Amino acid sequence: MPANPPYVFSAMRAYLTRRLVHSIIIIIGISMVVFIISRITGDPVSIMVDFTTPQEDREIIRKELGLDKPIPVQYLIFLMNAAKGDFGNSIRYEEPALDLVFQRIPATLRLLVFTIGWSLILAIPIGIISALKRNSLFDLMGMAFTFIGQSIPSFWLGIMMIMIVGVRFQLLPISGYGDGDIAHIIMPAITLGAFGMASFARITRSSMLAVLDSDYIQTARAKGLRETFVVIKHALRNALIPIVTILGLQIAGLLGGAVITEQIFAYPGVGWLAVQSIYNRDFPVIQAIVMVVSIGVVATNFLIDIIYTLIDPRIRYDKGK
Amino acid sequence: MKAASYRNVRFIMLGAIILFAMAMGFGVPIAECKTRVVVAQGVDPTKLDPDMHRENPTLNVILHIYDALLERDRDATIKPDLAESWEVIDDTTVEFKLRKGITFSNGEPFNAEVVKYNFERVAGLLPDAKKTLNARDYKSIKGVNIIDEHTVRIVTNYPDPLLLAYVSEKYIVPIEYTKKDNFESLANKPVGTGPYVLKSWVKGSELILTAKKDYWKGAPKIDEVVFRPIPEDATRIAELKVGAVDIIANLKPDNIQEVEVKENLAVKYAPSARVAMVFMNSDMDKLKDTRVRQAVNYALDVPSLIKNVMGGNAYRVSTVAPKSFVGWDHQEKFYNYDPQKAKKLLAEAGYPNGFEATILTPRGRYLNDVAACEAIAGMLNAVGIKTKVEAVEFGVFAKRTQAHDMPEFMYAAWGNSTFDVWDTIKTCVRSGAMFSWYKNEKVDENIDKAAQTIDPQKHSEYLVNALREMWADPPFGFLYQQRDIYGVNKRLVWEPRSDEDIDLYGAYLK
Repeated sequence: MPANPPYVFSAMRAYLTRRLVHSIIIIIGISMVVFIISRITGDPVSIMVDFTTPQEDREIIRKELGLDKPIPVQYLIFLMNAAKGDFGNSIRYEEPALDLVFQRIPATLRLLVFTIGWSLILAIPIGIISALKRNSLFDLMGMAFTFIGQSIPSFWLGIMMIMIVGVRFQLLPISGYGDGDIAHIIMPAITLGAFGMASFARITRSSMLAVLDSDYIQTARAKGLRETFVVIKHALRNALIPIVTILGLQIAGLLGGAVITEQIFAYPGVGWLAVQSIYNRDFPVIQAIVMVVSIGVVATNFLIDIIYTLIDPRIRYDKGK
Repeated sequence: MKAASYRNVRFIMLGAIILFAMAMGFGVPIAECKTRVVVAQGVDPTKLDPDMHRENPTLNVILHIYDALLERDRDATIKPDLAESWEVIDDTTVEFKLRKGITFSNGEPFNAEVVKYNFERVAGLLPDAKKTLNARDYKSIKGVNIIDEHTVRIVTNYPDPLLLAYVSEKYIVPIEYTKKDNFESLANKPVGTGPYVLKSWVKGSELILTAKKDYWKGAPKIDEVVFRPIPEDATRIAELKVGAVDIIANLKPDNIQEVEVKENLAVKYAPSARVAMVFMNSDMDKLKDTRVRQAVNYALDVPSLIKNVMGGNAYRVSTVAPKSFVGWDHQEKFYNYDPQKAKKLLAEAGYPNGFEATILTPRGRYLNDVAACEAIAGMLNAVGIKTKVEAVEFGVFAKRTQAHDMPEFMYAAWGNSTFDVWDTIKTCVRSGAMFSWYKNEKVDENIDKAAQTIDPQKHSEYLVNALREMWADPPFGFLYQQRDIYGVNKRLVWEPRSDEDIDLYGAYLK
């Protein structure tokens, strides 16, 4: 492979620097929105203390939490501490908020890996076969299947799975984490992944269709290459590019979906912690979760941008600058 | 050629699935031969330091690990526990004789020194100790005097009629263990004298307690008690149905049937300590007249509310003291549903055409709160009080009512952990109190006298007097006490309590 000319690297560097600056601005913007929302939705002290706690005692707590200071000052303090990884103590658990989030991250990551794994394993073959056997019965059924996957709300799917797989046939444990065994993750992963699987299958199908019609595929076939080789090596490889893009977008969506899925299956991840903290108005934890998750999403998208430029030599970000 | 390509795709797919499954690792279930009971609650416990938590789900774990000097039996009567007996010496002194030969699970002895240390901690008298979350309950305590190794006296700054109730809620922790790191370890590695010890706690997943075979009251009959947090109602019920969970609390009336039809399950009930009432704002001119507030009570068809809105899951209360409370009136009288009389009283008070009003309620805080308010508004409308319902989120509700901002009416189901009605009326009825919109000198006098009397008989008499006065000149529309509903696996012999505690010492498997 010939070495890239130096201008490509400098253009890449400029592009990546620009993206990095954007990312930082996005994260600061998110921090501001989260901070403001968690302040305007009500008084955390009223949730923390007993209903009958007198006003004087409330004021003491408010002072301890720094809630008596003006909002912009509170925000600056929050930002400075957050930069040091200090989001304050959880109101409910009285432990550092960030520690609570980090305790829950492995479970959520595991769920995400499993979810993306099964949905790709199922979606790509469905997409390929549907594209190859366009308008066949398989294609029709495959697309109907993915249509259902895309239209079913995940909370409904989760509860139906609990009722049918868990209660009626008792094939899988209904909720919890167990010992981290595979049985406990199957239903949450299916619930969480149904939508993404359907999108992946549809994208694979349509991009395969586009690729299969192109001249170079005709050329490859004309050269007398085996069909498998043509499909896997020539067509799929090119069709994968939009799938990688969608994957990046899906991660943010999956994290959102994890909130509902984890709650339904009592799966001890970040999503469940988020719901619980919102109920308890545990704002240090809410802030820590949103910051950690948004940094994660922004970083993933940043990484995917880099991967994108690497796997597809046609894409040059200096164009149209 | 095409067929070959599908075979390949299939092969790749299968291979990938197998590899993936192997990578994630299959779990192997472990066989259990011990008796084990699983309790599902909505949330995980917070801290197992008995003085540093605020929630019932945490308390349910704590009460298996620790003991208190006194305990309540199922009828809420106070009984001896770590204290063999107690004696009221004078209005500000109570003496406790302690049980001998009891040790904590780490071997430390239980004695007078321990009791002094514990009450000094919650009263804020222990130097260097952080303020505890239950400190407000013990603020009357002036000090603890050790008479001998097994006798202590708690001295208060003023007569405190709730002292014994709060002593029964004070779980005793050891000295040496907590001293070495200023109570830090207690939160995750509790040490108590109770029937169970903590075996393991995977936060967010499960907490396991194991029975202490040498427990001083006798070994528990259930070897392991497991607490699992499951936030969704539907999921908790599903786990109960398949037998993975034995007890679930807060079953909704709508789900009773679903549980009842299963052969292996039972629905159990306990009267709750939560009493629902319609607060009336007598600071407003239209509600100043006693007759108007009586009219409201005649307009309310409480039996119908209990039957149709609460699905039978409530018990009528004549005032605000249910039967299990100190201050309950044996000769209780009820307002009979009488809309004609209500209209007449309104007319006499100068409102022949009624008036317009609003009833404020939190949304989803209490059992069927909004539905109850809609029914109440309908009943008031029928006598001419044109009432509209204003349902708000609890945070808003709390903020408004704490700032004394209430429309004509407000619906609340008032909790009371002390089972002493004085605790309710000192906050909701005594004039000038935080949640009082009422003024009646005779009631105030009786509340104040009850406050200074710790003799149970006399204390109770003052309360009965206050409640009778309140019945005649009502501060509230009197309603009902809620009923707690549990789903239970029939293999377990266990009865719920009216203080919402889930106590498995004494329970056993069939």
